[in-house]
Amino acid sequence: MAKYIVFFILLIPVLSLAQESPFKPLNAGTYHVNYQSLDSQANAIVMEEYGKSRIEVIEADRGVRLIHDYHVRIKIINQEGFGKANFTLPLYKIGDSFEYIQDLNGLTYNLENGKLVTKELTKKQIFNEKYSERVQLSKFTFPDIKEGSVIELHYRLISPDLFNYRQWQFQDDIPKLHSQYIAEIPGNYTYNVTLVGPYKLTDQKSKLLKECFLFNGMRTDCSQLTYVLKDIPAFVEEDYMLAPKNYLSAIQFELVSFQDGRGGNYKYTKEWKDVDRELLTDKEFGGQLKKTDEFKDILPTLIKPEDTQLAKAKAVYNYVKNQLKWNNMYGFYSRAGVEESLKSRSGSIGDINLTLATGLLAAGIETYPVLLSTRQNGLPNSLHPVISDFNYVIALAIIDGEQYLLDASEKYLPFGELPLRAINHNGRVVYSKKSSDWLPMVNTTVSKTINAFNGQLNLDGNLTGQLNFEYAGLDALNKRNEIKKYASDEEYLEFLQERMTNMTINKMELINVDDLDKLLSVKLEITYNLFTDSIGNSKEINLNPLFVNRTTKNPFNLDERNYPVDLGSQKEESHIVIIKMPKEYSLKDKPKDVSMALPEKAARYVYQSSFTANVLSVKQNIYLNKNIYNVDEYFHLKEFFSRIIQQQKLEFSFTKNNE
Amino acid sequence: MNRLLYSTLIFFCLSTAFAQQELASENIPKNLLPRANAVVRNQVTQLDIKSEKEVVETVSEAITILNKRGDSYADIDLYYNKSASIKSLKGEILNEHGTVLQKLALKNFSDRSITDDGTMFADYRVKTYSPNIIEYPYTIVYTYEIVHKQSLSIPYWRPNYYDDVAVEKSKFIFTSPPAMELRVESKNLSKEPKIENSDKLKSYTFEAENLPARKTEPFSPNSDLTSILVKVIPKTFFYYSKQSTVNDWNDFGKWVYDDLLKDKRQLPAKAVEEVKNLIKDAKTDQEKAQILYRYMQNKTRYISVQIGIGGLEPFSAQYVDQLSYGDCKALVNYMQSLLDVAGIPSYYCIVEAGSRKIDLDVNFANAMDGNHIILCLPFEQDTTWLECTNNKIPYGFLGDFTDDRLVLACTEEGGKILRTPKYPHEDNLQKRTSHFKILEDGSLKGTVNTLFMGSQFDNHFYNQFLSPTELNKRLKDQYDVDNIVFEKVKYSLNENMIPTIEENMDVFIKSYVVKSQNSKIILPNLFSVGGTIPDLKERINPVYINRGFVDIDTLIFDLPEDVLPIVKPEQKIIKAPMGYYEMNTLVKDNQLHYYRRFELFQGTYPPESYATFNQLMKDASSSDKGRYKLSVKTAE
Repeated sequence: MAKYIVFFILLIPVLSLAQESPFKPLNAGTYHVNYQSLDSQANAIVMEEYGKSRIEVIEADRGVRLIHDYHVRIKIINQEGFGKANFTLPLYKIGDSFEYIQDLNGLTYNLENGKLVTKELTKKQIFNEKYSERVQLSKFTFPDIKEGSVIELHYRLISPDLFNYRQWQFQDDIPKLHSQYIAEIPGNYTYNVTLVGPYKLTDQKSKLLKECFLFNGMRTDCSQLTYVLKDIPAFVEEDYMLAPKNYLSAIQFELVSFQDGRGGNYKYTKEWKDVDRELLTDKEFGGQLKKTDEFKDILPTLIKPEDTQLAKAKAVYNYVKNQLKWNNMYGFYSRAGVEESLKSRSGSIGDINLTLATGLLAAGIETYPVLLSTRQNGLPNSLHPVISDFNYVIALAIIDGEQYLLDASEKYLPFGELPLRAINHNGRVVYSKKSSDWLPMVNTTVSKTINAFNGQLNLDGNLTGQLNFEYAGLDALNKRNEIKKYASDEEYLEFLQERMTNMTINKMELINVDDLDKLLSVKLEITYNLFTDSIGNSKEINLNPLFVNRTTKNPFNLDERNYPVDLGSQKEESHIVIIKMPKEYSLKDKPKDVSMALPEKAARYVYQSSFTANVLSVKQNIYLNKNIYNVDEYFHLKEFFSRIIQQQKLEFSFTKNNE
Repeated sequence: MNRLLYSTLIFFCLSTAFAQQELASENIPKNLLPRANAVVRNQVTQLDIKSEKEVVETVSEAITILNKRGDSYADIDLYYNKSASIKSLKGEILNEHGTVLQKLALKNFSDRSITDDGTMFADYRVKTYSPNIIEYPYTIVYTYEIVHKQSLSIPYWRPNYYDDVAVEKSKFIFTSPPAMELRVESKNLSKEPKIENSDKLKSYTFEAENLPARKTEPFSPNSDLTSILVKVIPKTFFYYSKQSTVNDWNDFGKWVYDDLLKDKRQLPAKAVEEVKNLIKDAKTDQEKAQILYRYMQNKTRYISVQIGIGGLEPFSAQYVDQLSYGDCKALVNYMQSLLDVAGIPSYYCIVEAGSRKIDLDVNFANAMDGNHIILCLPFEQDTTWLECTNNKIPYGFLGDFTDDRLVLACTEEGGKILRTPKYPHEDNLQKRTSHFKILEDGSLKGTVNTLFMGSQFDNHFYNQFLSPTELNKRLKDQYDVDNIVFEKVKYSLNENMIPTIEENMDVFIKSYVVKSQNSKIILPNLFSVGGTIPDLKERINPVYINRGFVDIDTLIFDLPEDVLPIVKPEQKIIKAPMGYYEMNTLVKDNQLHYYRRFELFQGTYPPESYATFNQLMKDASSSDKGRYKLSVKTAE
């Protein structure tokens, strides 16, 4: 399905109205706008902002266009806000034609000796840059910017994109005192309108405009919708959050239908069942899933008829994963198609995962495509199908009643797991031309790292023994990618050795680097310099057995949190340390065992130790049992980690036995 | 006609030289494989300098990519603009056996502008291609031709520039009419060039082969000192609409002055009046310059716009006066126009900016060296340097962006090589004094005062311009201690010859000292735990320390009532050729005193001293993490 719409129509000249400034003239009084109550720390602030969009036939463009008039006044408060006087307006190619700007003008106001002085942004100061095949940029900066300057910008943007109308973004990285948007929508266009974000509109009006739209010789009424939001705080991004887009206050549109006035009714956004049918009949989506013949010659080399369904699925999954390389392009359509992708051995997410789904179907596995939106791309609209919200596809295989989520774009991803980018609440499983449903995108495997040491402390102050790291889930994926960055195991060993400065690695063994279904482990035979000097003569020694990967930094250190923490998966980190102490020493003092948990076991911490037969054993586990923590839980996590950091400072004391 | 034939012949030879079977990966000499992520199999760069106005660049390359980390070396980036046009490209990608996987043509390339976020306009564009091949090794073979309509800014030959790329064979050929005088410079050649003269043509051929990849080592000297480099420029060159003859930097500076700078410094009468008025009460030239610098900082801001004479020509002072913005060239030129009004001489200086100190190539005048412009005021007693793109830094301060390196001053009398000021290591100072009270529950309450100076000046200088919320976030990064709360923060600037900034804070740290059975554990070095450097087994390059510094920390802790004021005093001193470390702890008058001093000395040290350097850093780092046990008084 095309994302854009191009109309070919009878062209009737229409006079387009010049823009009128919605601003009252600025004076010395209004120059000093009061922004303190909204944000006393702002570097720049939007004083007023107005947008107005309508649909009109533009003769010169031979088509129907969206006309968007934009006006803004910004107060530049201090030097840190100077950047807000620089603009880069992207203009996209929609179908065959580019968006373009008309009537751009700008003005800088400064108050000099009690008088307002203005300076105009001239044509010469506006640079047009052809950024790429599909994007042009209009770049400019305002003249004469000082602390306190007010800038005023007006422009008209003409866009062929009627499908998304014009999204209006209320919230930005600087605060806004007043933001108003007017959308005039002709009666023969129907849009889904969505208000995103936590803020309630200050005002909302609608009004009927008589015969405002002339099309095919007929006049149609329009509805004029006005949205006002005042006193909008700046948006500040936080760590461990989903895409800012999910939280930024905005109004979004998607075209549902269009009537051409001659009886033709074109549907665009539909109900899910319409989308399901369209997707499955689309040659670049459902059409590819039928190309099971492409696997006719391949399958016999991969599987035997007597193999279990699971074995077959794994074989096909591994084949596609190793055969196709992701070209870093997203999208859920297979533009290249299964045949071409298999031949060129590379492709987009759509190419790779639809090839996977086709291969699985060819092997007789019950498989469905799942549309989703990546974490970066934001959450898809959950109320009605907004197909342009999606940018990713994976395969759902159902084998012996079990569901497996499969993504073949990451070489070191085990069967049935998703990379972090694909874990973004729900995906939409397209079951058939008539049905589809939401399904949570979660990894069943917990991200896990185990640090284990088993060895002895020698009188020369060195620990010697076996240090093993084991990884599962997303931790294993990251570690495998790290190991595979190195040309050989030797080079990886060298990297480890260089990084671990107090440690000499005498031997390294990497286990299950390529066997993705098994626990990845890095086994090291080490000498660790725990005490700089020999301890043979020390009466008392203090040691902290957690000598690798100790938590020293609190990942949750904000004083204020506005958005949920989304980790993408549950996490677990363990230390298991066993040290045989020199027989000359006995335990004098040890940290108390600790066990703590957050409400409902959202997170849990255990620290236990024992000393028997001169062997010290310490076990520590940190469990984060949820993928997503809400804002209140953030502060629990902060305190939780703070206590862990304190606990890990504690030492064991040993005294030398009397001889 | 003849010349055309000649170059076509060479081209023909090159194309056939890359026989596909020979490019099978198994033919790579085994000694070139270690440490290599890619191997240049055969590379020929040819510059045919047809005239001052036309240089034809022909590059043929076959490079084998051995693994994922080598992928970026398969990328082809062809830059072009009004004075450089891409005439042709063809290529193919081969698998490890030398079998063709796919063919390449310009239509496979994507085309985009190369301005970054900070740049309003620049006229260069690039056509790029990156293959997406799943199986290693693979080989990409291509030939392209670019025609340059100028002869000042033409490619250099640096066959072993990248450490992780081995070179089987690389060749650089340039040809020119016999009468044309060329300036040629070469460094670290392994083989003398072949020079041929005929009555039709003069040609130079440089060759390099069998160069293994090297390990990238930290603290290595600039690569120009060790890797092969050949530069060539005709003595008389043509650049955009300008033509000049340059033998050395003196000529080059003269050319820049005469052709690019002169007549750009007139200010409108109104602005001249304003400037005169500003300095009417100032007595010395230093005072006047200071007032004008402040004026320029307040009036203008940095916006990068690269048009006109290939990005070398500044916008006029009038332009900056009118719009109040400009790039480094325009702002320096504007500052000069202000100084002109006061009758203060100044030099427009070309510098290679960046934390790493890189000199202009003294022996070879060219337009590629330098990426920034600063201003020099040649006062008789105290030469003063001004950075004109920063609204905040103190008058006369360059910081580590442009300190201690050779720059070119472009003056009416010609170019002069000058050295920017060096901050000796003891001036690159961070001196911190903290006094804390340890509360009953183990929390710390007290003050942290720090002085920053020299190259450490801007560690915290910009903090003072942040909003309270942003400042709090920044400080949490800079003082990375869990549970730290900054209760009061104040900055005071002292604009001495070497400016300093002082940071005064009231700080509270919850539960810092932890209790364990009958003792309390404290790590007194709260803020300055040193890092370590990679533990290299062998060292090939000399050890190069770009800039020295001194960090001093003094911390005093008032001990709580319930602990015994007894701790065994400790002292550690480590002396090394490149640094010094000292740590002292003792308890006196119910207070725990901690002192730490760490110094690094600028310089180049022999390769074998790396082990000493590593040991210094390692020992300092473990000493930094030292902890003390305070015994809790037992009720008796």
